[in-house]
Order: sequence, then structure tokens, then C-alpha cells
Amino acid sequence: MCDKLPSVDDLVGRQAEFAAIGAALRRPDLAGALFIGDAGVGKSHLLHATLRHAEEAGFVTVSITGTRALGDIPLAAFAALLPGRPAGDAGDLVQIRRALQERAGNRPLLLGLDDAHLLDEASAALAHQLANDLTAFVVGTIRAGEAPPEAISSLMKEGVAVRIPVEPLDAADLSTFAEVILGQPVSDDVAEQLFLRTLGNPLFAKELLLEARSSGVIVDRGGVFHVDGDLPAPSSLSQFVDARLAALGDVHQRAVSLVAIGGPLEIELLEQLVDPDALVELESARLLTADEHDDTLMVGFVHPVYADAARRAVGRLAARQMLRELADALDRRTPRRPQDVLRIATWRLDGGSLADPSLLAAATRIASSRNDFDLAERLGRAWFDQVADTPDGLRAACRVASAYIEQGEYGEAISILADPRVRREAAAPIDRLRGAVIEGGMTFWAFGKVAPAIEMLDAAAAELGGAHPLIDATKAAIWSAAGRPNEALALTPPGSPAATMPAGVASDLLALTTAGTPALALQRVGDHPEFVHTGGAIAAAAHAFALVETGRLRDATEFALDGWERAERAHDRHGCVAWAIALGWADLNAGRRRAAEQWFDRATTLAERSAAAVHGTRWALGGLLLSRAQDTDPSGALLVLDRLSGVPPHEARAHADLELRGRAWLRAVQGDVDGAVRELLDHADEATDRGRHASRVRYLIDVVRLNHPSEALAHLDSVPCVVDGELLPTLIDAIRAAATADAAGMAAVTDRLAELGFLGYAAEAATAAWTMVRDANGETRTVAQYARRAQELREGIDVHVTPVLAQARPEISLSRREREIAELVAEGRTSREVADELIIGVRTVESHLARVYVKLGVRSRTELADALGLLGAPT
Amino acid sequence: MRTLFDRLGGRSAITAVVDDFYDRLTRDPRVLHQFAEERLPSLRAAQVAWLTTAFGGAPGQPMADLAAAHRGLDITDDQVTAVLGHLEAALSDAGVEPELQRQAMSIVSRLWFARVF
Ligand code: HEM
Repeated sequence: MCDKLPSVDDLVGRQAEFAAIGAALRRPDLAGALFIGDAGVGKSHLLHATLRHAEEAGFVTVSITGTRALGDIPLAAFAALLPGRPAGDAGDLVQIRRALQERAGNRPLLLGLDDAHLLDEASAALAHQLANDLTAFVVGTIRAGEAPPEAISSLMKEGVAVRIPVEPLDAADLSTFAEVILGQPVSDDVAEQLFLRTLGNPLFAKELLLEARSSGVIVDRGGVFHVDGDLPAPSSLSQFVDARLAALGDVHQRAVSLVAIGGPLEIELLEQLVDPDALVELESARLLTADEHDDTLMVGFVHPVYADAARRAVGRLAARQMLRELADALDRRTPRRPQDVLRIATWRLDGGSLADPSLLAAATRIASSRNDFDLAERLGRAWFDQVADTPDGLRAACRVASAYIEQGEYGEAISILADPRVRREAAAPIDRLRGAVIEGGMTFWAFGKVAPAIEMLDAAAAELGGAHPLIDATKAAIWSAAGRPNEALALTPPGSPAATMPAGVASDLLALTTAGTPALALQRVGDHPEFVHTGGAIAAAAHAFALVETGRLRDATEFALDGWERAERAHDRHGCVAWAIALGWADLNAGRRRAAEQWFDRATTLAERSAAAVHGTRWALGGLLLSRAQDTDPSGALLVLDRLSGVPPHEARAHADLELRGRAWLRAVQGDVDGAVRELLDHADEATDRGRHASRVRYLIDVVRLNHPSEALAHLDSVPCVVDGELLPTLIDAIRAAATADAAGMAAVTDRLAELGFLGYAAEAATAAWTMVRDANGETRTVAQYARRAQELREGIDVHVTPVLAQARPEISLSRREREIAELVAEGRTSREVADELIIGVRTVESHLARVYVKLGVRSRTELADALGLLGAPT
Repeated sequence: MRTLFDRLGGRSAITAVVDDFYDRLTRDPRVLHQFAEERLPSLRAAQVAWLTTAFGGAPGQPMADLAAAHRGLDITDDQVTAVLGHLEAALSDAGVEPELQRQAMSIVSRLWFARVF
């Protein structure tokens, strides 16, 4: 470990860029840097030098390269970094992160992302996260003019990564560069021509020089290269590359074209189609290179400019034929991996040959399971066109419709299901059932209509000879989402087949939670542990809601964050919306207002382009409205209201409860508290009638928070309210304590809520408890203790400034002298020492101190120090 | 997003961690001889300032140049491991949760190893 600087002599003219990367590594506020520049300008070279250099300095480095190979498993590049992992298994984000952290130990980790603009979105998202949680410092390269995945560009937008532009070399550096390439200096003539031709692009210069040397255009005279005539005159790197490719013989050109068309290819596959000798020659000509990838040797280009040029050079007809050849060759290979099925099907499709329907069916399924709905739609359409009028027609139509729905294209989904070629009566009953479930589900989820959806499902059941568990489970899911838990639960009695289907379990979870029994809901899911994986993200998000409602706020957040990460990695937009809303809800309950609003905002943006467009958008905006409305300034909420007015209506209920509470709060903030209270009580009564006791309690607690506790209590006692878990009973205690001005009861509520992590509610409860003892003319010391508790809970959390909090600010003021003495004592001085220091009597010190103890409600010197900390700066 | 500095508990927490960190350093024979007794008070203060900036508690504030500060000290790999280990132990004993601790150590170790980049 000495302080020597590792060497960078092969990096000509890159001192500035190199200094920039070093400076970035030493900036604590950064976690990444991105080299941006033209093709061939030397970004990758800089990246590799950075990696080497960092390793010498003591970093642990890992590096991956973005490709646009078809059928790549998301994250495969990362997974390949892990030892002992079977090929093809991508592993998961958590594992990859942990493995990287273990690999680094107490050394810093540098993650290289070559060609970051070509990364798949999952890998990009992982890289984004590794930078943000400081697992790694990320250094990437991006070709100028290319759009990197969102996760990468957001690193720059968020200020987590800096961009380091990589410019062409200047004339002097280019001449030095030429010397490094040729091993000998070049004459001024050569240098000048080289610069004019290449404008400082090093890759271009290198190719030009090597070409010129082998063709004898530049010659070595006395240790210096001179030019004999003119250097070749292509006007750009791409022209030069084109010319180089054009000069290849037929066999070589064919090999190059295959790699360009098929993306990086397995060596065995390529060797079936071209002469292996040609491949060896192309490798020594520095055009192709082979890299280990998931235990397979993959052949690709040495530099992406060649891939681009080669792709441009292949005619469309030739490309089609090559795709067919590739598909045939891969078809002969065993064993066949999922990405092979995808490649064969896509190649056949693009190659214009007829693919086997069963192959297309399998490929469609694989693409859907990878959330690549674009591809699923394309493959599924091709499958559908072949089988539309056969008994399989409806199944194919259902698959394609699902892919459309996932992309929010409902019109397309409806029209493929209604395609006149489809003969429903010929389809298998299970497929007819699927069709009905898709149509019924879409009627509710996409178009927001409950009654027609239920009618549609009933009609399908009748046609198929009576009730069917799948139909019942789907109906139950709709009823529970529509805020009708009783109807939902009636369809899924415990032990019934419908209750064990994913939709049924999800429905039970939601229905039991809104009914006010989240603990029972969680117990029910506990009987189906596989559910969290098979029930889809929406269902799993319902699990997060149940956790919040039962009072397990931290578990809810942890669970939802994990879900969010998984959904993000799987490109599951639909899931991301659900998780973001769950996270916003958890943060809102925890009193983390800003974080909550960020999640709701994010959910809104994502929802706009997802299968849950209307429902998700209304739900997220409802959360945002509820949060913003609890403020003394209504303008933020009014903006949300404006956005809501542009979203079509939807009969789902979960969002409506948030939205309605938000509207009532807004009304209160605008001055009409009585009107707001009336609204809330009406909604509470409606929830009571429908059996939604969780919503009922939430509406009533809002009434308490608007200072109308006795009305809340009256509506609570009108109909028995059976709730379970930790949160809802505590909120009910709060309503009772508030209505009866029971300060001790409210203090107990405060402690319970704070312990559970509901800090917004806790701060309000503490403040209410304090007002109660103050108004009851309690003992000064007791009042002060309550005040301190309230202040402590209000400290440092960005809770909403609701009327209770705005009107009642526990304030404790000490006189200047009292404060001075208190501070000295808190630092550990004895009364005697304080007296000496301030030149006053010990008795005076002690009488001041006694008053301070009473005012602050403390009993000891340690408590005194804490209480002073809360007081903040002297006034 | 709150800064690492805030999440670690702000100035008082950092000060306490540095106190403990230096107590550990000055009891460890592997590194003890590197530190001049009379420099310790000012070093503690410099360390608090440096960590505060490293954890985002003083944005824009210039940081001591670690390469310059340690030049000529002939620091061994072993000593680096020891020093990082003590900081980690101090964070851990201060009750910093593991993930936060990992993030804090990750910044410190990066800034240390990048000093000679
Ligand atoms: C591992 C990460 C380390 C960090 C973050 C760190 C940080 C610092 C800082 C901020 C200073 C004060 C600079 C100034 O403002 O003047 C300093 C000084 C010093 N460090 Fe470190 N240090 C580390 C490792 C080490 C190691 C491994 C040793 C040797 C055992 C060491 C020995 C010293 C000494 C002797 C000084 C005082 C030099 C003087 O008297 O001016 N440090 N360090």
C-alpha cells in the first residue's frame, strides 16, 4: 500500500478525462460517472484503464457489457459474475447484490458498464440501485446520441453520476497515439493527414494506420513512418469500416453478416454455418472476438461500430435467408433453453418462414413470463393467425389479449377476442372460461364497471353449465375491489375451490382487510404461502395493505420494497404501480409525508401507461390528494383535484376511500370544517352498511382529528364494530379517549401508536392528550410532561400540519437565566460550580433549577439534558 | 432522501463515533505508533469534519486530501484493515444498523482507496 500512481501510458491525451474520473471517485456525493462520446473515440478504452487503475489502487472491480442480443435473460450479465451459478439462471437481485458485497469485503467496489446504452432494463435498474445504495461506484460508457435505459439516465438526472464527455484527440495527441500504435514515430506529413482524415477519432486513426502500413502507403524510413502518396480517404469512421468489410472475401463476409444479424452467437452454432477457419481469420483480423458468457463461448464484434456497419451492409432478402438458416441450426441443437425457443421463433418470424404453432405458443408464453409484452404480442399474433379457426384459436386470442391488456391497449384486446374466425363453441371449456374471465375482468379493471362485469361472468358460468371456481374467484375479486366484502366473502367460503385460487386468495385478503379484520386476512394467506409468488403483484400488494392495517407498518414497508424491486426488475409495470401505492400508503401512515407523496406521484406516472391505467391512476392520485389536503395551504391538493378531474370514473373502492377522505380534508382546510365532518360521517355510515369497518374507523378517526370526537363516537357506537389486529382497536380507543377527554387513555394510545410506527397519528394523539391535561388545569409538572411527549413526537418527522397540530403547539419557555443554568447543569456541572461560574448564590441556582424541572416536567439531570435538546435554540 | 449524515444521527452521533474510533486506534499496537500524542485533539476534530462531509452533512465543503495527509507515513495494508475495522466497530457499538453501517463504510473505503487514483 504505497502512494505510487499506477501507470496510464497507453492512454494518450486522456489526462483530463482521467483526472475527472479520479475526482469523481473522491467526491462523496457521487456514486457513478459516465463517459459519453462518439463511436471509436475511446470510451471503452478509458473504462478499461479506469478499471485497471482502480484495481491497482485497491478497488475490487467487476464489469459487464451491454448487448442487444435477442433472448438474453435479464440480468444474465450480472448473474454470470456469480460463482457456482447454473447457466441460464439469472438469480435474483438480492442475491446478486449480496454476492457483490461479499466479493468486495471491506474494499470499495467499482462496477464497469461498457456500452451502458445497450443494457437490458433489468440490468440497468440493478446498476442504478447498486449505485444508489452505495454497493458500488458505477463507471459506464454511453455512445453520444444513443438513449440509455431510463435507469441509467436517471443516475445523471438525480445527480448520482456525473457525465464525463470524451472528445476526439487533438493533433499533437493523435501523433503520439500513432507512435504508440506503430511502435515508432510518424512524420509530420503522416500526422497532418491522419488528423485531417480522422478528426482525432482514435479508433479510426488506428484502423487507418494499420491498413496504410500493411498496404505500404506508409513506410518506415530510418525509424520514422513517412507517407508514400496519400492515406486512404474515407470521410468517416463508418465509411472506413464499410470499406473494410466490403474488402472481405465471400466466406468471411457471410460470417460477419451472420453475427450482425443474429447478435452474439454461440461458437458451435456459427461453426455449423461457416468455415471455422474463416472465424479464426476474422479473429486475427480484429473483427470478431469470442467471450465466455454463461459458460458458453459467444462470438461477437470487437467493436460495436462493426456490428452497425455489417448490419447496414446486409440486404433485406439476404438477412431473411440468414435468419432462417440460423433458426434451422439452432433448432437442431439440444438441449433447448427458453431463450433458444424465443430466438428460433423470432428468427423464423422475421425470416418469413412458417413457424410451428406449438413453437410460437411456447415462445409467446416465455415472452409473457418475461414481461416482454411487445414480443409476446408479436409472437402471439403469428400463432393466432395460424390457429384462429381451430379449437386453439380462443386460447391464442386470450394470450394475445392479455399481452395487449398489460400494455393498456384494451381496444386491441377486445377486438382480438371478438375476431370472427374464432369459434368459441369449438374451444375447450377451460379456454372459454379464460376468455370470459379476461373479458369480465377487463370490464371491471379497465372500464370500471361492476354490474356488467358480474353479468358477463354469470352468463359465461350459465353457458358452461353452472358455477365454476375460477368464475367465482374472479367475481369475488371484483366485489372485494369494489368495496363489497360481504358479497366477496360469500363466494369464497373457507375450504372451497374458489378460495384456493390466486384470485380467490387475493379477494379474501382484501375483503377481510377492508372488513376490519386484517389479522384474520393475514392468517388466511398464511395457509397459502405460495400465494405471494403466484398471486401476482396486485394480490401481494394487498398483503402489504393488510400488514399496514394490522399495525405491522415496518413489515409492510419491507415487504413492499422487496416487491417493488422484484417488479421493477421484471419490467412488471402493473406490479410497480401496486407496490408504489402500497409504499405510499405505508409512508403516509408512518407520518413520512414527503416520501409518501413521492411514491404516489411515481405510481401515477407509471399507472398512466399500464394495464391498470384508470384504477391505478385514481388510486395513486387519491393517496396524493389525501396527503396534500392535510395541510394549511390547499393549493397542492387543488392541483391534484385538477388532475383527478381528467381521469375517467371507476367503481373500484380502495382508491375512492382515499380520495373521499382527501376531499373532506380539503373542504376543512378551506374553512368548512362542519361540512367536512358531515361528509366524513356519511362516508363512515356507507362503509358501515357495506361491512367495511376498516374504512369506517379511518373516516371516524378523521372526524376526531377535525375536533368533533363526540360525533365520531356516536357513529362508532351505532352499529357494533368488530376489528382485529393492533392498529384498528387502538384507533377505536383513540376515538373513545377523545370523546371522553380521557388524557391517560390518550397517552396510552400515543404510546401504542408510536411503538407501532404510526408517528403522524401518534403526534396528534400526544398533542390531544396534552391539550386535555392543560384544559383540565392539571399539575404544571404533568402538563409539562405531556407537552414534552408531544414535542418529542413532532420533532423531526414531516407530519401533516392538521388543525389539531396547527392550533396546539406545546411550547415551553425558559427565561434566559433559567436556560443558562439548565445548560450548565446538563453538561454535568454541580450547583456549586454553576454558582461560582455565574457569581450567584447556590440557593439562587437551586431555585431556578427547581422551576426549570417543573416547567420541563423532568426529574433528573439526564432527563434535563434530553429535554433541553428538544427545546432547540434559545428564543 | 435524507443524507447518510442525518440517518446516522447527525453531528452528535458522528462526534461520539469518532471519540470511540480514536480510543480504539490509540489502544491498538498495530497503528498506535503512527499517531503523535499532541496531534490527537486536532485530529479528532479533523476526523469529525471529514466524516461529516463524507456522509453528506456539509455539502460543498472541501475535504482534507487523504493522499497528502498520509504521505510518507508508510501505511501497510494491515494498518488500513485495522483502521477500517475500528471505524466499523465504533459505528456498530454506537447502535448503527447494519445496512447503514455498510453504506457508511462503503463511502469511507472508496474515498480512502481513491486517494491515490
Ligand atoms: C481508512 C481510512 C482513513 C481515513 C478516512 C483517514 C482520515 C484522516 C483524516 C481526515 C486525517 C486528517 C487530515 C487533516 O485534516 O490534516 C488523517 C490524518 C492522519 N491519519 Fe488517517 N485516515 C485513514 C487511514 C489511516 C491509516 C491506515 C493510518 C495509519 C495507521 C492513518 C494515520 C493518520 C495519521 C498519522 C494522521 C495525522 C497526520 C498528521 O499528523 O497530520 N490514517 N486521517
